Amino acid sequence: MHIAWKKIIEDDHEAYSAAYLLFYDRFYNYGLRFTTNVSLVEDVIQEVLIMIWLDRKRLAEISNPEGYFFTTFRRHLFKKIKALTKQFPLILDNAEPEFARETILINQEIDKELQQKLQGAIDHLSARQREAIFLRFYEGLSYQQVAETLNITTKATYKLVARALLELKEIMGLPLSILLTLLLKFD
Amino acid sequence: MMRRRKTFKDYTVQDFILDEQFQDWVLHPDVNNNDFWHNWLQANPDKHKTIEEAAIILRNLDFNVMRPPSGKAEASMAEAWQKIKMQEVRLPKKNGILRQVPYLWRVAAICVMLLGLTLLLVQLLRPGEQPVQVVTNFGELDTVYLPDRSMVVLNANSAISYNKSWDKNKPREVWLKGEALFHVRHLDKDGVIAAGERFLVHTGPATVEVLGTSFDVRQRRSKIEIALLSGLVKVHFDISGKSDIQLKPGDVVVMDTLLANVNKIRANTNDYAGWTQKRLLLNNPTLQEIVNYLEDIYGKKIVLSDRSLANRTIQGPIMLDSLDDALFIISTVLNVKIIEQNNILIIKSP
Repeated sequence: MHIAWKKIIEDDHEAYSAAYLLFYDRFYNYGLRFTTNVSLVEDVIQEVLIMIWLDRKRLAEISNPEGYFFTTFRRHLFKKIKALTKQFPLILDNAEPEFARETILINQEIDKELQQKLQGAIDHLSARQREAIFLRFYEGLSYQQVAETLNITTKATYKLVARALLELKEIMGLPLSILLTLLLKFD
Repeated sequence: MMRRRKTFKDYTVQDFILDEQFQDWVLHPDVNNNDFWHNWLQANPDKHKTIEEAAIILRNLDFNVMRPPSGKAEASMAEAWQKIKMQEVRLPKKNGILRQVPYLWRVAAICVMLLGLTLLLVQLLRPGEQPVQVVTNFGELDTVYLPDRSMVVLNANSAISYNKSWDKNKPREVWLKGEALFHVRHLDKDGVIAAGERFLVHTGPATVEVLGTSFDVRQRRSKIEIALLSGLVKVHFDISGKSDIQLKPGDVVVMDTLLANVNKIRANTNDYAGWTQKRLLLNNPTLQEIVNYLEDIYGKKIVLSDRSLANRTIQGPIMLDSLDDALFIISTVLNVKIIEQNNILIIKSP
């Protein structure tokens, strides 16, 4: 998952190509949470990734490029999605695109009843909570990077995630037997 | 991001669940954080249960992942590079994969100049009807004007020879090794072809006969290709049983001199002259074809580490104006690694 920003700044084509492929997969997966329009997502991915190369000399000034490009990608994507919905006046909903519900799953291997309870809790999270959890735990962005991407404070991000996690913990507030089977699974 | 002053020793399950450093370890373990936490656990054995309980909550999170169909990212990247190139044309050349090539080219240029001088001396010292030979080195093109002012663009690593002056009553004749594009002056005015109006290009066992025309002759390895851009040519083979072939514009004759078989195909023959603009344009080429071409033009030994690579193709036309570009496009589009060892380029699967 490591991106050789230094090499990209030094015009290293291979480093950029590697980063391109890496980001392509990540942005594809991320972008399709907001829209089902695949070609739109692909176009935005390409635009943003080309920008990385063309602006590579500026990368040195960006303290955390990974978060920066997630932010850029999201902003671009939203702009395009909104421009598109405006062409269909019947859709009056001018709200922000929402992060898809079916993104976060609960491990299928645990007790069926518990799994359903946890999944229920996950499904009741807000779109922002889901997105924050996705960026933090799937993409591995730091709280600070997630905050920049969502355009909220780090503290607010932390709270979003904490509320969701603590709810899961409450639900799991576990009969000991289940806990033991879980422990065995994860050793 | 936790600002509390607690140390890990005082952490409850809840504290661990919410701790960024702990989360990173559970979800993205690596050598560093594994080391840290294993040491910490050894020092704090009583925290084992707390840690495991916290880890379970995080490990129960799973994500439904959408992956692009295979090849999509690569195709997008190839297109992106094309767009980038268009944006960057005004910028100076970047550092390439082979920085020493310009140096080699300089050496090559000096060699060619020495060769030119030698040829000149030979010309001056010997009177009368003398053969002229023009040779190009790797990575070098040359334009040659024949005695009748027909023009020949000679590709890299090629040679053409002809008599210094041409007898008006004898066919015009040139001998070619390698590749050249001919723009032949049309001498016939009355519709009757006199001997001196014939124009013959000899290459290996084939002879191309022309009447005012543009065509490309490519003789490399055991393959001869003759592509007609305009006019009319006839190809004659010095092989018994092979009858002559007439070409119309857009026709290409492909001959395998080892198997002695000949095929005529239709193609965009302008592509065959692409190299005269110092670029090479191939349509849906296989990697083997590209490699052969690059070896012939740039004189670099190129090896495929794996035979299965040979038949991989690049979709669509590719345009390449230097060895660096060619290697770069190959490595990105086909996702292969290119390394240089002892002056040999090796292409391998990643």
